[in-house]
Amino acid sequence: MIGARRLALANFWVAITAFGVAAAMALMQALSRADLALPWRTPKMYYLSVTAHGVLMALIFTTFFIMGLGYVVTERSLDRPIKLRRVGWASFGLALLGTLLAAWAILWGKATVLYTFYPPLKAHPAFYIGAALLVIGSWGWSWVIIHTYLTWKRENPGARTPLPVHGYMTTIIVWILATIGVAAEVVLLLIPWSLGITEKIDPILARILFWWFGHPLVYFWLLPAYVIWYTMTPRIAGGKLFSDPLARLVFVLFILLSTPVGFHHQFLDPGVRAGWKFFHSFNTQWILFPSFVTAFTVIASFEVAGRLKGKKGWFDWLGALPWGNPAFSSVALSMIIFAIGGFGGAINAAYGMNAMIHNTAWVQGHFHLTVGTAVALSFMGIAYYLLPRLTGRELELSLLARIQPYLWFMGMLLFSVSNHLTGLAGMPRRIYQFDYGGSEIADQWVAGTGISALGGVLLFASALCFVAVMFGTGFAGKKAQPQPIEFAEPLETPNNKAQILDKFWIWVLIAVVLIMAAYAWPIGEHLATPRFGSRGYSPF
Amino acid sequence: MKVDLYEKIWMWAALGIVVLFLASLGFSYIGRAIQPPSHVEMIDPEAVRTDEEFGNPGVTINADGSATVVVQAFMFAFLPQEIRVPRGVPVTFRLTSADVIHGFQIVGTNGNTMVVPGYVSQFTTSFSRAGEYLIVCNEYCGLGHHVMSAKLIVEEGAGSAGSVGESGGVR
Amino acid sequence: MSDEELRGSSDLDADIGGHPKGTLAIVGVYGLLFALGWLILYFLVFVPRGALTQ
Repeated sequence: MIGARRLALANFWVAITAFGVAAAMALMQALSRADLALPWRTPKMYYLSVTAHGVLMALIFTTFFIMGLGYVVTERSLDRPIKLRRVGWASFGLALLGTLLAAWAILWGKATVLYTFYPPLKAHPAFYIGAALLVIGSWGWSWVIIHTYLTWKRENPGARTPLPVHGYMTTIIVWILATIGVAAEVVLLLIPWSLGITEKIDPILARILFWWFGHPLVYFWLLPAYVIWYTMTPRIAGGKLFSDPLARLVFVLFILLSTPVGFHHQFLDPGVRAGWKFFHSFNTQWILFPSFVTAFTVIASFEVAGRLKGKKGWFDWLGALPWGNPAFSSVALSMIIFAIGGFGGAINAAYGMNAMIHNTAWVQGHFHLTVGTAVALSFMGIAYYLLPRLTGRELELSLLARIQPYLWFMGMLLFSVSNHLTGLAGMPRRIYQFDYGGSEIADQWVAGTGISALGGVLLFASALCFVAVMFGTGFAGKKAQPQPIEFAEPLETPNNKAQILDKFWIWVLIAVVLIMAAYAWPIGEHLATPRFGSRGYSPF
Repeated sequence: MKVDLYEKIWMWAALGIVVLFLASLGFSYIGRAIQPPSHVEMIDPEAVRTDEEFGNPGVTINADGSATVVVQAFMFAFLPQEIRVPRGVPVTFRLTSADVIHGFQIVGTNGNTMVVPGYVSQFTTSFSRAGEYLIVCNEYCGLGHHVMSAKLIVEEGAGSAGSVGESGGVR
Repeated sequence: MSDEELRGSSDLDADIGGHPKGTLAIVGVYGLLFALGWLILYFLVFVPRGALTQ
């Protein structure tokens, strides 16, 4: 039994609870799309619940789950106890306190600023302070993992970093490089402004700092999912990892490419020169490459699993995969969904074509495929695998667990494809109603929103299954001797020497140079231009 | 680093796809001079309502037949509520916000920009189809966000200043 | 990585009975659809909707 078991579980339970609350918010929004006259349906409740859903899913569920998984993966793959466990608990406490502060501000209607919180929309200070505490907590967690890794390195000089930890170190490096931006935004601009210490704020500067953070944030979500795909799922499928070195190459490319790309979220912003946007768009397109490579390596690992079961044809190995095991099916379905999500992402990040879909329903369609499925469904799948192993209980309600990934998959296809299409037809994202005074043009969106509402209902049913299985297992599961947590063996065992792809400091240095080129320069230029500030508004 | 032959083939193909996309970006930017609204011009958000230009929003037809549209955005409307421009001429939109961040999206076209207090957004496009277009705010701006909209009417005409106001063929 | 390093491996052949042909077929079709989808959106939706310039 692993030493950081309770610490990991504490993080998982916060994540699962946040997920459950956020899913309930999502049901309200989905039904809202169907334009039903429900009693609670007011603009105030709608925008409040969109804020709560976004913050709880994208920031709370993900961050806590990633922290919990980080403890498990690090301890198991390094085969040594987590160091500084007290720092881990303190970080957990800080992050939880931050979560509660922000949740209070949101649920009491004092922070209906959505999870992008663009000023001059102004929330209660508790919202920003809560966000800051969550980030500080995650830094504490990062330090615990880094410290454990460095201790292992001292004990094993010159040894190759185990791949799961290689992936997790990548995650942490991306996270630290990213959070510099949001920490600057929240601590230097938003908190003093919301407390009334400063009177005005520059909305474009705030957006630049936000998206410095906002895009690598998506890789902070995605990389732990890649760790699952590369190092856990092939084993669950009964195969081997097809290529260990290419997995490392992919991780390192994310260190380099995650951050100098944020302006592709600000293509339509005034106050940022076109050349900078083009530069970031150019950088962003390269991110397709590591994900294309990931698709091959992981699918080939599944093909290996089928071949080991004696399948010889082109596609018969697909049938030999454990589709009834939710820990496998969740990842396989995630990958199909991510294939579509990757396509939408390439359009989003395209310098010209972005204007066609910017801030339309296409965007929510997109990120529900990526973070909402590739990441979230992979996390749910691995939770079915980990929870029995961490609690020493058998998986309860396993029938629900088996159908849950398929429900999610179908629900998300309906929700997301329809949102892409209505977005392309011009429907804005995040709107309570889309009547626009009886506009005939807006009327054409109705079919799409109806389908997305149906998808939302299926997704909610799937979320209920997940939460029921988790709490059922955690609190009522039959006690059993837990099975070990194991990682996939590479097809070819590499020699045990650390290679250049394990030398993180080199890649961090290059990443810092790229970030300087992509951000220090335009921010310097921006600060040197005389600007006006904005007072705060709280129209909610 | 050992890489399987088939994976190597795929990596080259993936590289090819990325290069194709980059070529298309470069073609848009350099070849067709397409660029997203990236105007850099500042304005005091508290002076927008009394500003000579943005305090009197509306459409001006220029001597060369092109049009300039000045729009003021605020919670929760655009001024003017109805914009009339001739078909097939360059139309330059100039926008700013008097309060929070708004979006300005002409549905069914690529006309789309953020409208940020303290900054002037500007882009030029033209409309090849006459008729009525819906303009919506696509950035959350408060509890009235979903009612914030306006109308664009593209009018048939010779594309000269004289044709403005004539209802040639619309509807 | 150098070209010599990027060679196919005979060890793999022995273990799993050949290269991952099914995988190559799947990702190949995906790559084609991906590029095709991009071109369709570019030429059939984006270009007709009119260019934005400064």
